[in-house]
Amino acid sequence: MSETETNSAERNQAVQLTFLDKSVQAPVMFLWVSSIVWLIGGITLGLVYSIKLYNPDFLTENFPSLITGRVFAAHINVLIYGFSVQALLGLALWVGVRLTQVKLNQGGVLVFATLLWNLVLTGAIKSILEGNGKGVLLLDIPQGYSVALLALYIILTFGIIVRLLSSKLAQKSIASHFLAYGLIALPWISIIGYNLVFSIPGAHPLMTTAVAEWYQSALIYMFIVPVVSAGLLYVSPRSVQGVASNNLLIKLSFYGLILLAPCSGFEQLLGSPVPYFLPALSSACGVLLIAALVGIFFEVLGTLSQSAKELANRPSARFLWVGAVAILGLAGLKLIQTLPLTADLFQFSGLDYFVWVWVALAVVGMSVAGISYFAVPRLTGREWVSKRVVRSHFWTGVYALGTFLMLGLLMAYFYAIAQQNWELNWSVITQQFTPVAMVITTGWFFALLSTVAYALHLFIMWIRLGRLDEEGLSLEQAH
Amino acid sequence: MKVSTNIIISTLVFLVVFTVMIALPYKSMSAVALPNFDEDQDERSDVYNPLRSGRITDGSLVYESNGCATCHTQVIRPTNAGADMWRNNWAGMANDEDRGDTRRETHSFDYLGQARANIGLMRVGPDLSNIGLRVATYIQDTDLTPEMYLYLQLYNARAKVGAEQSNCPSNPYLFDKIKRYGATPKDALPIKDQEFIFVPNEKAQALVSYLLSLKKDDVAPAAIQ
Repeated sequence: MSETETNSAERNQAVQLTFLDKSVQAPVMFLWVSSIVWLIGGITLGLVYSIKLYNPDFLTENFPSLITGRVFAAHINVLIYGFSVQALLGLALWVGVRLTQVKLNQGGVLVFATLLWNLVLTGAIKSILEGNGKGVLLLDIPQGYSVALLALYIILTFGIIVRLLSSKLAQKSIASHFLAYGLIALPWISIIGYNLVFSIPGAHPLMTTAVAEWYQSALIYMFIVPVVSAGLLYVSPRSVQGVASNNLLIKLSFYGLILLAPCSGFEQLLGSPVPYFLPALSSACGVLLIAALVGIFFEVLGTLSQSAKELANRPSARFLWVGAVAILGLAGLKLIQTLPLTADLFQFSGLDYFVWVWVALAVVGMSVAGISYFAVPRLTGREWVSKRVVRSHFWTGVYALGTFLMLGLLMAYFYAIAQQNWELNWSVITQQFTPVAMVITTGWFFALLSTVAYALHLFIMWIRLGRLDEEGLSLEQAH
Repeated sequence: MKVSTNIIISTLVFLVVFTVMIALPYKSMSAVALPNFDEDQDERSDVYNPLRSGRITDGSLVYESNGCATCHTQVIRPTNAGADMWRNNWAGMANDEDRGDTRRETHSFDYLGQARANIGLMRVGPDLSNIGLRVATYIQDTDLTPEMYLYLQLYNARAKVGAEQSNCPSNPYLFDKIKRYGATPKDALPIKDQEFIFVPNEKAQALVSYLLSLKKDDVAPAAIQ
């Protein structure tokens, strides 16, 4: 092929991508902006929750319904259904049309569905804070609201799932497989989880709790991790202008994930009187699942490492790198939850909370931020405005994650050790939870700074006040 | 391989896992029969009858919807999994006047009557598996009833002498604040307030009744301990 023909083909492809991006611009931007607003809300609730852990009547006089347990439930639901799911739906729409190379023509419907999602979720969170929640982590949304959210999810994803399954082009990329798996899994696990926990009469209370634990795990490993992986795998080679690194490794990781993710989750019931094989089998699957997560990490890392310069200077590459490390971190947390030696010790120490924080802030937050730093200029036709804001977002975000993972785990370890000392009076042990809570407050404080910086930047891009510049934003230091 | 082929594979995997790890245990546990005592091990041979009294069903719903399980667990793990059994009065009473040592691990019948087993997420507060019996020890030198002790705890956990550092939240929504006039209802909280009295509402009554039903005071067959 001559040079002229090559240039012409590249131009055509660029024009094609512009049309594709245009077709999803409105819903993707609305989903991402909404998700960031929810993230700020979730972080604020996280701050309130953590303060209540050492000052339990904080805000209670003015807001009597804001008691610790309800704030916790609202906080986790906002982080997952408000922030994570919407951020991942935005990712799925954008990556989906690019993988299938087919335009999405229902932009208006999707924007309306997103608007409804936000309204329904607002009602659900209000209901939880008023004490009408179901009291089962991540299944606490009252029934009417949860049915509406499921219907809206189907509206938002139906078009893209059909395209992924039918497009010949999409078959070539492993990202399509991850994306289709994650998007299809969520409604199924939700229907199973909700019905088995709440709707079947005569169920044994232990099994309803076991299914609730399974649902929480499935949400992470059957929906969040596959969709995030699809985004990382699609964007990382493009952000460093390289190629995907190891096809076999990522295929093995994909099959590992689909085989093992559904079995995981029951290990949280260690020591409770469920049938013994459930936590045992689940732990075995959990250990193997870690290998799949490590495979995804190495694939993304290998791809991003092809250009050290781009990795250092491109905002998207930096955040994607942290997103990949976040998946490795999730594998580490899973290992602690799974190995008998550590699982018993950490079982009631607050580790489960750190896992949810890590999933929302690190796995979803950093990965979607990396993808949005690449995608938003292409969606809006504008460039990001300020290096300084991107750096602030990055470093305060890293401080937040470091606080949660390093200090949080360390404090949880000390608390877990104290719990094992049965001769200590419980009121003495409880006081040792205060450092854990203070670490959580510090982590959320950094997370708030990071998210506000990003939210302002994203909002400027949304209202199309970004730079009119051909050159992408580089974080390179001026010499 | 095609995306649709992989979706079929993952669906089949999911169906197998769902059947083996969810559907079958779910079905078999819902029909689990009460065990018999064993003559050799237990020196009796009747059917184990785990009786609980109180407003277990609606009380546990109040417990759940207010997120109590975020900070309190209700599970006594085997000794190889933690020190729960040895902690003072958590697993039962070490020296019960009538029954001797009633300490035991949690078994599946401890949750009967509830919609869900409130195993709990963290242990910020103490385990509540045996709170019904523990309360009896707390009120020994007072003139409080077990119910009133828990109402006061729910109203303001830090009001008690020695509990100023407690991180249990106050739950004002569980009490009706009524202008004081005429005779004081017998379930009003013994709080010195010139203007108002505080009376536990329906939710508080259900919750306290449920909490008082959480006891480890029976002898279970050795086979399930």
